[in-house]
Order: sequence, then C-alpha cells, then structure tokens
Amino acid sequence: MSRVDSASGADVPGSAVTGPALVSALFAAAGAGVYAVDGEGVVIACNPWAERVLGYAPGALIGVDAHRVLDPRAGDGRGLPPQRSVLEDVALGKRASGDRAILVRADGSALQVWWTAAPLPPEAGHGQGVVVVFHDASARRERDDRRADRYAHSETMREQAEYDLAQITWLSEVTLAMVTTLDADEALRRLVRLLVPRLADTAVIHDVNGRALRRVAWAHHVPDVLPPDPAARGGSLPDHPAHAAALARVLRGAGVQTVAVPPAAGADLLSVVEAVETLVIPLRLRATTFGALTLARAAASPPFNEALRAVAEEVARRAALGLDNTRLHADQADIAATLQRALLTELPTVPGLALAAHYQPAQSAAEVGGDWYDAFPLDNGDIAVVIGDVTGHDIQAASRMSELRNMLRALAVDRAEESPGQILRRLDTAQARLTLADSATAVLARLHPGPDGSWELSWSVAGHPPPLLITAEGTATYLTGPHAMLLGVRPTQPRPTEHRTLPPGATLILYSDGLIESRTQDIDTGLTRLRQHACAHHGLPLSELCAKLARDLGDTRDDLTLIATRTPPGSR
Amino acid sequence: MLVPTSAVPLPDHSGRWAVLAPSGEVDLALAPVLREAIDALVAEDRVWIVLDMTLVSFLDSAGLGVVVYGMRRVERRRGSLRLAGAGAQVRRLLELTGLDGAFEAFPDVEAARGRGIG
Repeated sequence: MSRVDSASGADVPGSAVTGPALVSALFAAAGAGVYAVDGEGVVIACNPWAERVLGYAPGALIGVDAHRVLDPRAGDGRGLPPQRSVLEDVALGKRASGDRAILVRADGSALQVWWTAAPLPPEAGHGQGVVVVFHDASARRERDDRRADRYAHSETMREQAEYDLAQITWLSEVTLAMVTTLDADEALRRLVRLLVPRLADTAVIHDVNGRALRRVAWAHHVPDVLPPDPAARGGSLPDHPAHAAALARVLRGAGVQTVAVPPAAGADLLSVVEAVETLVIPLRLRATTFGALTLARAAASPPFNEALRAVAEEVARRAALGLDNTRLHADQADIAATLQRALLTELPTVPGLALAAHYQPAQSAAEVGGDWYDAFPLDNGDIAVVIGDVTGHDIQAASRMSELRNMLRALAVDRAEESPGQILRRLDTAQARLTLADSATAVLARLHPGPDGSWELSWSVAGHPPPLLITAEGTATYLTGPHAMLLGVRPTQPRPTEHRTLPPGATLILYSDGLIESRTQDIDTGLTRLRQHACAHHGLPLSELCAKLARDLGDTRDDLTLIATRTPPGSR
Repeated sequence: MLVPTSAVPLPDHSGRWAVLAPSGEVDLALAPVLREAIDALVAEDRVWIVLDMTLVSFLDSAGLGVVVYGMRRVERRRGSLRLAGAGAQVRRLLELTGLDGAFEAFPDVEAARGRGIG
C-alpha cells in the first residue's frame, strides 16, 4: 500500500469511477485524516489530508512509527499526558473511538483530534494492523470553517472559545446519549433531542426493521409540532415520496442524499415542518446500514454547509456505533434470559411446608443477572433452600450461574450430614479449582422437620444479604450472623453455620440484592423498607407475598429473585 | 494514539504501586473497561495496584466482580490490590459481601501507597 493521490484518474470529467479506483478516490478525498498502521505501529498508508494536517511532505508519513512519533510521550518536554497505543485498544477486532486525543505534528506542535479506529481486515495482509480516521478538533480549524458559515458573526475570541468548548462538549453528549442506555429506541430519542436546533430544525431517525425502515424517533425545534409517537401506524404524517425514495436509496447502500421537496402544503412530514433543505444520512457501520438520520431546515434557518455536514456525518457514525452496541447487547440478553428461565427450578412439594419463588427479569431486558433460586429435598427428609447471585449481567454470568447451581446441588445431596457452612466451603473450593468463574454470593439454608409444626433451620451466608424471618405475629427480623465472605475469594476459609427454630406460621424469605439496592436507594434503606413491607403484608399467601414484595420494592432495571418458605400454622 | 476513556484513566505508573482511578458508576457498562485496565497492568507485571475509588458513586455486582477478579489475579502473582477512598455505598457493599476482611482499604491513595508491601 502507499499514499493515494487524488490525481489517480478520479478527476477526469465525465468518467465515473467504480471499484478500487472509487475507493482510492474516496480515501484521498475524505474530509478527514486517514492512516493505517501495521501490527508494529508503522504507518503503511495515509491520505493527503493526514499528511497536510500533520505537516508532513507528501509521502513522508509512510514508514513513521505512529506510536513513537505521533503520540506524545512522557518526558519529551512537551508536558502532554502519555498515551496508550491505539493498537492495544483495537486488538482482537474491536473498534475504538475518542473525543480527545493528541497527535504530534511534524514540527512538534500538538494537534487535537477526535478519532475512530478499526482493525485492518485480515485479507489486507498486514497482520494486526489498524486504520485510524481522525478529524482536526483544534480551534483553528473550526474558526476557519466557521468564518464561512453561520458562526461568522462570532466577533470575539471569547465567543469562539466558548463555541469550541461547546462543540466538543456537545459531541461528547451525543456519544453519551448513545452509550448510556442499552435501549436502542431510547438512545435514538435522546439523540434527536440533542440535534435540534443545533444542527437542524427537524431531526428524524429511521431504523431498519427487517427489510423496511421504521420511523423511530423525531424532534422539532418547536415543541408539539410533531406528535409524540413517530412510529404510529396510519398516523397523519407519512414520509414524503421523495423522502421515502431517498431513504430507500440509503437502505440499499447509497451515501448522503439531498431531498428536494417542492414547497407545498402537503400532509407529509417534510411539508409539515416546512423543509426547504433536507439531508438523509446513513447510519452505517462497515457494510451494515442500521438506519438513516434525516435533517431538515426551514427557510428561516441558514443553509446546510460543509462544516455542518461533517458534524452530521460524525453524529451519524456515532449513532451507528451505538446501535451496533445495543443490538449486540440485546441479542446476548435474549439468549441469557432464555437460558436463565430454563434453569429456574420447579419447586418440590414438601409435606408440612409451603414454598414459593418469584423471578422478575429486568424490564429493559438488557441486564440479565446471574440470580438463581433453588429448593430440593435431601435424602434424610430435610429440604435445602438456596438463593444465589453470580456477579455480572451477561450471558457468561447466566451460564456460570448454572454451573454453580448444579455444583451446589451435587455437593449438598451427596453429604446430607454436612452443615450448610461446610457445604458452601466445599462449593467455594470446587469453584476455585474447577472454573475461573467470578465471585458469587449465596445463602444455603437447610430445613429439618421438628415437632408440632416447627422446623429447625440451619443456614450459612456467603456475602449475601441476610435472610428475613417473619413470625406468625408479624415481627420481622434479619438473620444476621457472623458474616462470611462471598464465594471465589478465599476458598479455604471456614464458613459458619447458624441455627434457629422456626415456630409455626413463620415465614423465611431469601432474596437477591435487586430487592434492596439500586442506584437511588442505599442498602440500609432498602433493608428497612423490605422489613417494614414484609411485616405489613405477612398475612398474604406465600406466592402473593413474594410477588407483592417484588412489585413494590424491586428496581425494574435489575432482575430480582425471591424464594420463601412458611411453616404450617400452629394447631390450637 | 490515546484511548482516553473518561471513566478509567491510564494508570499512574510512578512508584511501585500503579493507581487506577475509575469514576462514576462502575456497573455493567464500565466493569469490562476496568477489567481490561487491570489485565493490561498485570500483563506488564504490575501487580501492586491501588484502586482509587474516590470518584466512584456506585458499584454494582458486575463492578464488584471485577474488583474481586483483580484481587485474585494480582494475588496469584504475589501482588496486592488495595482500595483507597471508598465512599459509603462501596464500603457498605464490601461489608455486606464480607469483603471488608479481604481488602486492605485506605482513606486515600497516599495512605494506600504509604504502607509497607511486605
């Protein structure tokens, strides 16, 4: 590979180029710096834009060790923070991008850039190379751009500095809007709200639904001009035929489309927002089109210019990255939720003991936990009751949960004479030796039938919230004992077992942390609320009590799990 | 080129202790980033790590899992992982999970670095 010049024939008038020549022309003409490095970090290709903005003579950037020369280094006297090589971050096929990084120009000055990087395809034959696309984020370039556009009236340096800061902050907000939720529709709704009126008067996002485009989010700079639900079927705002045609072209792989809609008082979206200029920008990552961003302006707003287009395309790129991320996650969450549900146990029937359990998956379906509950008979007539939580919220957590759950079953039924603490200790040891699972918390309780409807309870807690005991009279207490560490840290540490007699009509509740803790509620508040709520409703049938606690106290963003048992009422 | 994540900055390499200072909510989204940062340190044989928790507002079970993971990794290489500046939520979580006995917790990074490493 070598430097690609725009003089490669792409400029011959009237001759359309295709295939490799077109790619080369795009590479050369891209309004951004592009360079590729091989697995050693040596530049193997770059476009003229990259050379110019970095201050290299044509061809001089080839062969440069990018990490040594382009990155600021500790102790080089420039006082810039040291940077890690992008190669590390893009290794193993991941993309990376960032708002703020520094490239060192040929003359030693620093260039602020925003950038994205992706691994070179293996067929390129450069090992674990990386292609980096970067934009000059420095104030100077933005000032140059602005002179020609709507910000030309910014008269003072102060205003310009504020604008620079706002632009960078705003792009970060766009990224944040996309990455701080794993709900794709919500991310897009946030995004369009950020785009008006900064980029356009109207912003609309369509996403690909099967082979069709679905309107998923929109925003107009005047509130209430557009109805709240962009996807309503048979709504009064269809896409204009010219808009629909542009969207269809984008869906088939076309680049940015400009839609000309003759001024008319139609009942379509573009007419309602009085669009005089409309851009349709693909949300695309590699060869996958996730949807399209439509930006429209009315006659009173300044025309779209190149600077705005560049920002809009950057926004679209970030939106595509965000959608890719959320979809990947949703796929995983579906698999994990299915797996988890399949593993939830049917409770055994135990004479003289009520058992109930409740599992409530996270509403977003994006956070699948490693929660589990279990109850099974031991061979001497005792019952084991378990609650556990493998750390993490992904498919690995769900599969490790199943390993741990089954291992605990085997260890518990095998030596029924052992105490819960001894069994948990062996589980800890087995887990440490056999798997590289992360940590887990659990409570193992054993119930042994006693006289007159009472049951003997023994239990051991491994880093899990304490069991809650509610008497027939409605007094609720947490069974706190000497707390022992969660599983997976000190596998040989002895684990205590506690004992207690459950009187007739007593209810024992084991639960996962989703019931007591969230981002907005600390653990102790949650524990108090659970105790009070359980007191107030202890008269409910057991399964209804579980469902009520889950419904009233749980954070819907987290999944939560409850298992409860109740001794028979006393005979009087 | 730098990957400047706002949440897990590059470790401070000065001295024997490497300092990682995650910020914000260490949850499902951030846990993998923190994990990679720990892995990167261990790969360079930097197994004396201080996790500066001063700016962490919330640690969930995924985040906790990574902290435990980090501790296990460095301990297998005869290193140590210390926590500095943990806030109330993090301290309560450590207590509830019994980890307060496993971690050396320090009020701040200086205190965490200052103690002997024998």
